[in-house]
Amino acid sequence: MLTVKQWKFVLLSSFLVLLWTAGPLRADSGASAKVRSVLDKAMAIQTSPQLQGASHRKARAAQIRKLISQNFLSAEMAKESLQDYWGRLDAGQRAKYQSLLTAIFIDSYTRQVVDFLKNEKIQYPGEAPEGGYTKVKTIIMRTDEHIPVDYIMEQNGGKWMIRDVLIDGVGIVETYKTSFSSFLRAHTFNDLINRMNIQKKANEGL
Amino acid sequence: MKLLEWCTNKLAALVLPRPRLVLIVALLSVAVSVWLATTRLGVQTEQLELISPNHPLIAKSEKLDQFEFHGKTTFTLVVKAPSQDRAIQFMKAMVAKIHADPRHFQDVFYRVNPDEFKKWLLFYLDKKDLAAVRDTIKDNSTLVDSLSANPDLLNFFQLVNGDMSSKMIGQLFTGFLDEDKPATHKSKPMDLEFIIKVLQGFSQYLTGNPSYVSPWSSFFKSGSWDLQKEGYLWHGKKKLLVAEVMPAKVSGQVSKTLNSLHQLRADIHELRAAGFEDVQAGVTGQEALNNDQMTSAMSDMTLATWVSLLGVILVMALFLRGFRHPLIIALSLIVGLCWTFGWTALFIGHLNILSIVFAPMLCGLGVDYAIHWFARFEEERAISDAARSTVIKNVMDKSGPGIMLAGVSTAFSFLPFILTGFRGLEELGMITGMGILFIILADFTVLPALSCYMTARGTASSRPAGRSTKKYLLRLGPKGIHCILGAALVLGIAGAIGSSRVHFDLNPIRLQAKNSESVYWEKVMVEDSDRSLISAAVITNSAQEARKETERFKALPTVSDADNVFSLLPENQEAKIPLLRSIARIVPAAVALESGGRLAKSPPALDGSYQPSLIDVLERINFKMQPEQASKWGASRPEVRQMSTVRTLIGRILHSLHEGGPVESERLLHYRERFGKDIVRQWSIISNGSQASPMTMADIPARLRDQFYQNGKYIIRIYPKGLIWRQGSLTDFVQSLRSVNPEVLGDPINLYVFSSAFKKACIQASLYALVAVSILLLLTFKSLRLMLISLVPLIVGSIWTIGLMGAVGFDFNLANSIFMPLVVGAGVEYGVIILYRWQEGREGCGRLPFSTGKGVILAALTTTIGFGALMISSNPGIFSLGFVAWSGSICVLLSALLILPAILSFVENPAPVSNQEVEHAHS
Repeated sequence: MLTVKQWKFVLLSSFLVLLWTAGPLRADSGASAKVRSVLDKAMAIQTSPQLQGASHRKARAAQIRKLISQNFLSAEMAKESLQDYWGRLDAGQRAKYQSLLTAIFIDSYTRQVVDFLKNEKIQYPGEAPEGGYTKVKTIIMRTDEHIPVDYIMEQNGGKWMIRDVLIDGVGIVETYKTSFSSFLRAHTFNDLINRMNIQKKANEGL
Repeated sequence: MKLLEWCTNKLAALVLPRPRLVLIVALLSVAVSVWLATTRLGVQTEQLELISPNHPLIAKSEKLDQFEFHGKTTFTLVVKAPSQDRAIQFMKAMVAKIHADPRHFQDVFYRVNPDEFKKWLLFYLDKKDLAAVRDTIKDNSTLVDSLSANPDLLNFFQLVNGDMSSKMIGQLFTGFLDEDKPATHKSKPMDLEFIIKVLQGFSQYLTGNPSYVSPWSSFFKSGSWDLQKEGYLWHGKKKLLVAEVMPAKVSGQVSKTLNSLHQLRADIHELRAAGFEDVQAGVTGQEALNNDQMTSAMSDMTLATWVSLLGVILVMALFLRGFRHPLIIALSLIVGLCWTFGWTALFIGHLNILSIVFAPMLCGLGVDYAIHWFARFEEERAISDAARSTVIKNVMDKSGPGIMLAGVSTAFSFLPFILTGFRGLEELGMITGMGILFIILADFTVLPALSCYMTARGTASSRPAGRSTKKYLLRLGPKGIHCILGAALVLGIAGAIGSSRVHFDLNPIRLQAKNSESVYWEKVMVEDSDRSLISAAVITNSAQEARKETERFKALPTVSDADNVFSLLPENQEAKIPLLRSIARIVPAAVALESGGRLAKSPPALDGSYQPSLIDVLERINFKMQPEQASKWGASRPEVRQMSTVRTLIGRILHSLHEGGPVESERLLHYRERFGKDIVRQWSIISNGSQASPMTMADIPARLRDQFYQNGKYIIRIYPKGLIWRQGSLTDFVQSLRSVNPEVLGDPINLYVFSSAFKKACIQASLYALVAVSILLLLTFKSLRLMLISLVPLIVGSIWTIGLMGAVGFDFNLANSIFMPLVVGAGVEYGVIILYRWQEGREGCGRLPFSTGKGVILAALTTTIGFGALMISSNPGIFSLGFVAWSGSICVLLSALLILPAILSFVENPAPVSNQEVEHAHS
């Protein structure tokens, strides 16, 4: 029989083991590290002395674009943005649409990063599971102002990939969903494709 | 003339044997007169009562007064502040003072309770504004719905931040879908103006003055939503805040409301010193203007009387070489004035704005007779060694009738004012005419009695024998006579040309004292007003009649606007109902909120997470306000200047939240509570207002309705187009209104009737005075030629005076029009004295005896001082009267002294001078 003192030791030890094993799962499943890694790389590009100034903007944008295309599940984002409409499309339409949205999204996000991301102080309050994905929370901190940016992460082939970004609570995929849905109520799918084509061409100057 | 001689003989016989008794009787009568004046004499300020107490307009105007706070007299309190909130704060503080002082104030009307008409607030918006309200609610449906469910400050900022985030992200990633949308469907620019208003109010509440300012008027782009500022009596595009203060009437000689006016001004002064230095305020309105007018007129008149008396005594002392005779003259004059005051108190009982000038005028005019008396006295004393009483008797015998004739002539120039039918002039005529007679009586009783004791001893014995005693002030040769007459003719022509420039100026504001507070604020109100402050009115017996006549008045070219009780109701109410009902469908169930008690309940106390959450959301909003973020907004980009303002305000709030202690926490709690209640109130107004039935006359707040409708009577207020003071404008306005309804009333009508009656009365008074004096002179001289000659100084002097007015740019106005009848008295006097002396004969051609000339000059100088003293007044009306009468008396004097002897040289001398006398004269 274990004495009371021994019972206490066993319980405490078990509790500490649980904390030790559960902690990494809750605090850093790898998703946070991935986000941190992507952000660090982005800031390194943005602050690289060789890439400063307007003359190097294109070179900087190219590197950021590459970083985004490597780490975002843009094809999945495109599919989800169309919601039920996706089911009505044939394979050719889907491919065309996915290709266009990926290009437009990467261009938009690239512009966002190139224009605004500096050598930021970023807080990483942690991560949490959300609807089958993992939400990694970050906060860009400045004096008297901050902005929460949450990353929805999904493992894809053993690699953590970004599936959506929530800027101050507003998701990019959700924004696409709402806008496309509204647009398709008044227009055809071909109109959407045309509009996306125009936008893609307009972004080529970036 | 024999009658006058008889009178002077009888008076001399009465006075000279018993001077002491005469003086005692005079002293007693003066005491009685002073007692009567101090106990019974009041001042009347009503304009229409100057025409006649029974004038039909007075009774009609009283009916009109019932619509103005039920006939109660009011002062207009005007507040001008750097902001509307500040003006309201000052007004509320003043109202508290007024309510706390029933001894001076009966009541104050400063606001119509906005709760009484908030149900119909939406009806007052035009259709375009209503559509804008509907669109604002639609565009911000998330904000509106969420706030109605949770009317909390934190929720508000979270909603704002969410909206900002959605707009930014939407623009960044899907903005390209909006590009071919029509402008009306594109997302509108972010309305940071509203956020700024909220942040300004919040920041001010936390860090400065904790007074809640509702921001919702900015949200709906309409000031009507800020009920805290509604219902006040704003004036002049909301630059001035006014209130009508009803004074408590107490007894007072000048005005029954003067004490209240002083107290109101003292309250304003006290309040401004107690933290409202940035606020300007004052009192105006008809009652305040009347009070200021009468106060300044009374004080100016008192000063002018003393200046005039002192000036007259000094001039007399200079001319009569000593103070003894001037003192006798002054004492006689004072006795005459006291009798006049006593008589006025007994038989009239009051002075009016016209008759109030009689005292200084009598000082100038009335002293003349004693001067002529002493001028002759000195002459007689110089040629005779007889006893005082004998010299006095000689003066009474020789000059008495002439002096009495001059006095009676002057009195006769005033007494016919009674025939004008214009009460103000009637009273002035009676008081001044009787005043002259009383002064004549004093000059033939008190003055000889005093002279028996006080006059200087004769000097005839000390003069070298054989020297001529004949001295002349003027000796004109034939050349001089022609020169003078030629110059008079040229000046007469010039005067006639100058006269053509003189008009009749009706503007009563130009007659008011420029430094008076009420006039200053009246001018401020006139300058800031979008329509005339003065309006005419018509009372009708039915709603249909009121509507019909209002339209007819509006169609007149002289009318800018016309209002009736229906003007208080919103326009086109039926047409707005569909729009209102469409708003009702999209407004959350605010009624439920209100009836659910949210309005009354306070939100729960702040928990520990509230303040950090607030800081968090404000910092997130701040992030989006960076200038480099502006382009992210795309088509809905707010202005960088506004973003900067938001950042500054959030910075202040964050500082207060981070650094603040319990006071700031307490203020946050209070602001949150008031903000929540404000939201519920605003939503309730929209919800209730969008479901309301059209407003009817019965729904108009009683205090407003009473100003247009009472006991079945409807009043129409009609506003003139442009200024009505210009020549002919008032006449055109009044006549055009009368063409629609002859029963039209109000200030423009009163002014028109008053000024027309006054102008007519002044002309009538001048003519009556001239006729009366002419008849008197004709009866006295028994010669038409001499009568006409005696009028020459008056006629020529008047032409010169009006010409001078034209040259210096003076017009006739409501104050100085009285000059014409006044100058008749003065103008005739000099002519009579000179003619009477000429009638004695034994003077050479074109000669004016020294004593007569000296008497006339001295009399004219004293008259000039009497009138001139009026020019010390700050009241432009009194000043203009002083100037015109002063220049008039000088012109008449010059005309009498120069032209009359020149004309008389062409008339056969009644007793030709002997050769010996001529030689004496030359030597």
